[in-house]
Parts: sequence; structure tokens; C-alpha cells
Amino acid sequence: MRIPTARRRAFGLTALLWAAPLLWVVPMLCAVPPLAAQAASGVFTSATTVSCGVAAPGVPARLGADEQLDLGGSARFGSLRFSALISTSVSAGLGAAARWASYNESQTLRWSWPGWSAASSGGGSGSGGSVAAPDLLAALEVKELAAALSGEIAGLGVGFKAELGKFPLKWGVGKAFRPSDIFRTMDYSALIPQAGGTPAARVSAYPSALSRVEAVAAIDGQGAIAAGARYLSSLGDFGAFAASAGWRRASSGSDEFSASLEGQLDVGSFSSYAEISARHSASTTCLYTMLGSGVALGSLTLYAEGQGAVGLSTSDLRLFSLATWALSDLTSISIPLFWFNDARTLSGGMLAQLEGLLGGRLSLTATGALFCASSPPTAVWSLGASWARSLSTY
Amino acid sequence: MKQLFQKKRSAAALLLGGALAISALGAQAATGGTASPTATPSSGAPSSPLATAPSASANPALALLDAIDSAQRYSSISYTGAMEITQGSRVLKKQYTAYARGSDHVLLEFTNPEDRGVRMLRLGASIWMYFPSEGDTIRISGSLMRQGLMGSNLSYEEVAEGESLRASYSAEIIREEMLDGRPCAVLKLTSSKTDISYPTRVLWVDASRKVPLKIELYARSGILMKTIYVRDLQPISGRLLPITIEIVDALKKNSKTLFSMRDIKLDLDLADNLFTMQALTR
Repeated sequence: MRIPTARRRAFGLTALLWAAPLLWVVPMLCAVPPLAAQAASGVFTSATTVSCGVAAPGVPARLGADEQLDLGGSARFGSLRFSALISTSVSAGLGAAARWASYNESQTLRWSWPGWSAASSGGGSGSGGSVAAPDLLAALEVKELAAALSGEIAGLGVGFKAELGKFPLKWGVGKAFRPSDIFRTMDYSALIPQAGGTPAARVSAYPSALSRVEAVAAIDGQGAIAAGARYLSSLGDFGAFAASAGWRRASSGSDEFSASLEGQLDVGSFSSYAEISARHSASTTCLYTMLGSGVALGSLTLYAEGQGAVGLSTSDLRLFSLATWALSDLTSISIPLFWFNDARTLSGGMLAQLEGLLGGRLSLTATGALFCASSPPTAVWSLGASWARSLSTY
Repeated sequence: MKQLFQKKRSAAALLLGGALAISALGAQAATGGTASPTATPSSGAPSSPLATAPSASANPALALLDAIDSAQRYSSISYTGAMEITQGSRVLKKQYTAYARGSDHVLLEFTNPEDRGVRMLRLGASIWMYFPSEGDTIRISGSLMRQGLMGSNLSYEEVAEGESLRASYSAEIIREEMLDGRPCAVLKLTSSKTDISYPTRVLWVDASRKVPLKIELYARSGILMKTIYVRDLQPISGRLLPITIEIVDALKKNSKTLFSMRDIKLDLDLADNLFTMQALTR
């Protein structure tokens, strides 16, 4: 049987991508002896996913698979710490479509075959654009590659930390919406949003046990630059707050200045949190607000969150809710729901996680989106099963 | 709540109160000095628990709590811990390193592959978590406090409890009985406070060795919530400490967590900056 050239290239690239972590391990291990690492550790994890569903309106249902290998580790040499996390993946069918749709122009240090770019996809953000998703997709991403130096400022007795590289960066207190996050690192392609890594430099000082002042400058894959400072402090047993100010220059060259406040306060069993952010650009000044609250009712935890804007031509109203039911210590079900009012889109799903199954974690997902703006409304859906486990540690 | 920062907490409270398994988590150390001479571990011949309780006190139950307190007092602790969370046939294992000073300074760092780098800092009743995958420090707030610490049968709320049992409960000895071949005094602790996790606790105390061997925790409704078993005791630096503790959730079928400690060091000189946000995010 003759294997098509495109397939042969894909298999060859896949083998290369899976071997890529070794290229990272060797120099890391080689670097250890002369510097005499005080602590070094790493973990090699695998996540295997099978899925089925409809990736776009009007497209017949299809199957998919995705295999992701992550190699992460860190090494400490006195007050210096290095960390890295490299992820490789091979996806097919619906799995490739899902990963393709998760790409956006702000991501950095990520390469895929076939290649993805904002321009080739028509500039779509987070949607994969107008280019159809490939049937087979291979990718390599450096999710984290950073160095950090910790110590104490002589004479002041104040601790500090300086970081450089690509590392997770997250401002704000919202579960889903963080208007005070000028770095825009939240990844909404995941069922439950999470922050991703971005190339940045950060210097932090710790004036007291539970407070931190930080100055950060970051750049994303589209060339947008953001810089800002933030002060975070505990309010004793009752809550925490943060104040920040920053500047962001989009790739188009437009500047935006912002000032934000975040707060978290416990009121009885309720945990309430809020953000308010004033943003000023050349022609407009607007105010974003986010308000959220969580409560635990036995083994059920509920969160509700909303964000809106004043001073824009649209309300930019967004709503989010998350219900998590801990069926047992090792089994939980989460149901996140989003409503984007301007786009008239409802999205969400269900995530069941079973820990400790065959030495790993089994995740069962059902996701869907309903686009009410189109007539008649259209929908997409998918079902998936993923099994993640640690392959080895060192 | 503020006074928790200043309140001294007895070792009995560490072992019996609050999280109970906290000492298994290593999470808490008693404020105070070195071990009392009475703390010498003893395999002791079985005798009446009541007979070993100090007679000076009008209430022998409280005197027994005091005796446990003085027998297990230490100023700080560090150790390597492990938790084994069991749900039916499924088992999840986690490892961590723990440091604790006084009654309200705790730092845990998880070292198992899935949670490597996740840290927990407790200062008084305030708990902060650090998740390296998101580079984020999260304050564990009201609604999250009832969830289990990293999926275990020990809730954040229990981890945060710092008040001594002596201060929160009235105590009485309700009977004497044998447990695991040891004569025990059975203490019933009750509290009228509304903000307490477990208004009633029943303790089986091996009074000759001054250690609790079993504790039952009850809700205000009288429903048994959890049972804690001390599975192993070891003499450490002149004190007999529970190093393996099992928490069984009475409301969840086949649900339990086993906490164990090794490489235990007591009365260390732990630096102030170990219990800060800087250490949490280092």
C-alpha cells in the first residue's frame, strides 16, 4: 500500500515533534553538574483524547483523536530557578478541528503543521478564521520557558523576585472575565477558561507577608505590547484587593491606558469578587465592570459572574456560571455556561472528572454552542473522552 | 477571627481539634516551648485513664486535654507527608513537604507529579494557594473553604481552624473502654458556638500515653460526619506523635484519606520569610 506523500510528511513531522522534548532534556541535564542544582525535577505527562461531534454549523458529525505529550520541569540553583514546559500534539479529524479553532494570533512560541496564522485565516480571532481546519494537525508549543531570581533587597528586608521568559501571567480575580487583565492571557477555548503563558519580564517585591507589588512588561504573538504595575494585598481573614494601572499598544499601533481595582470579600458563606477597569484610548473612554459571587451548598459549588461596559457602542454584556458537584473525593461534575449578549451566543457544556482511574484522570466532556443571531439558530456540539496520566518523573 | 492570630493553641487542639489530621498534614505546631518532662513516650502498662489524669483540675476531662497538650508541645515542625485518597477501588496518592511554626504559620508544597509546585500558605485563618500552571495566587474564600484540600477528606475550613478545643468546647468523660487493646477514656466535647465546624466531638484518649486514638466529628444535627483514626504513633524527639492518621468520611461511601509523615523534625528555627507570599510563589 502506498502511503500518500502528505501522510508520510505528517508522520515524519510527528516523530520529530515527539522527539523534540529530548532535545530539551539533554541540555537541561547537561547544565546541572557545573551549577550543582539544589533541586531539579520534571514530569512527562500524556493526554489521549477521542471525540466526536460537529465542529461547524452544517458540517456532518465526525470523529476525532488527539494525543498530547507534555514535558515539564524545573531546576533550582540557589536563588535562581529555571522552568520549562513543552507540549507536542498530533490531532486528527474533530480533534484537529478543535485545536485549530483554539488557535489565535496572540499565542507565541507555537508552531504547527500545517501552519496557522491570523492572516491566512482571515484574521479571525480564536475561531480558526475562514480556512478550513486540516484533517491532520501536528503542533509544538513552548508553554513555559523562564528564569527567576529571588532574594531580599539589602537593608530593607523586603523580598523580591525577577522573572524573564515565557510564563503564566494572570491579573484579576474573575473566574472567566478579567477586565483588569491588560495582558489578555485568558484562553477561552478550554471548557473552563484558564490563563496561558506569555513572553514577559516581571519584577515583584513583597513588602509584607501577604502583599506583593509587581511591574510587568509583556508581548504577545501579534506584537501587542503591554506594561503595568499592580499592588495586591490581603485584607486579613476577610478578603483581598488589588489596584493596577497599565498601558497596552495594539499591533495596529493604537494606545490604551487603564486603571483598575479588584476586590474579594467573604460575606457569610458567599465569596464575592469584583473588578472595575477604566480604559482610555485616543477616541474613547469606557468603564468595564465585573461582578461575581460563589457559594457552597454541601458538595455543590456555584459561581455566577457578569461583565458589562459603559461608554462603548455595545453593552459587551457577558454572563458566566459554573456549577461543580463533587460526587465523591475523586469524582466531580462541572457545568460551565456562557452567554455573550452582543453575539447572541450561548455556549457551555459538562465536564466529568474521575481521578485515580488506571493511574490517571479520565475526563468526559460534552460541549455545545447555540448561535441565536443567525436565522434559524445554528448549533455545534461535541462529545469527548480524555485520559491524562504521568508517564514518568525524574 | 482576628484574635486567632494571637491565640495560643494547645497541642491537644492540634491533634484533637480542628483538622485533627492537621498534625498528620504537619500543618500545625503548638506554640510554646520544648517538651514537658511528662512527655516522655511510654508504652505504659494499661491502667485507668482517669487515674492518669491530673487530679488538680475540677474537670478530669479538661485535665486530660491539658495533659495531652503538655505531652506533645513543640514550637515548629517540618516533615515529608503523603496522602492517600481512596474512593472505592480508586486511589489517588499525593506527596508534600510541610513546614509549620506556632499555631498559625503553615506552608505546604506538593511534590507528586500531577501537583508539583502547588503550594498552600496558611497565616491564621487566611489560606492562600499557588498554582504554577496558571502562575496565580488564589485566596481560599468562604465558598471554597468547605472543599477538600487537594481532593482529600480534610477541608480547607478544617485546616484553617486555629482555636483550641479548650477555648471552644466543654468536655466530659462519658465512659471508659478498650480500643485496639488500650484502655481509653471517652471524652465528649460540646460547643454552643454557631461558627464551629463540628459542635460535638467524641474522643477516645489513651490516657496513659496521653494520645487520642480515635475521634468522631458530629454535625449540629447529630449526624456523624467524619471519623479519624490514629493508625501509628512514633516517639519523635521525646514526644509520642501520631504519624499516620486516617480520616473516614461518614457521608460518602467508601471514602477515606490516609495521611502519613516521615523525616519529622521538631523545634526547628524556621525563617520568617518561609511563611510569606514570596515563599508561596518562589
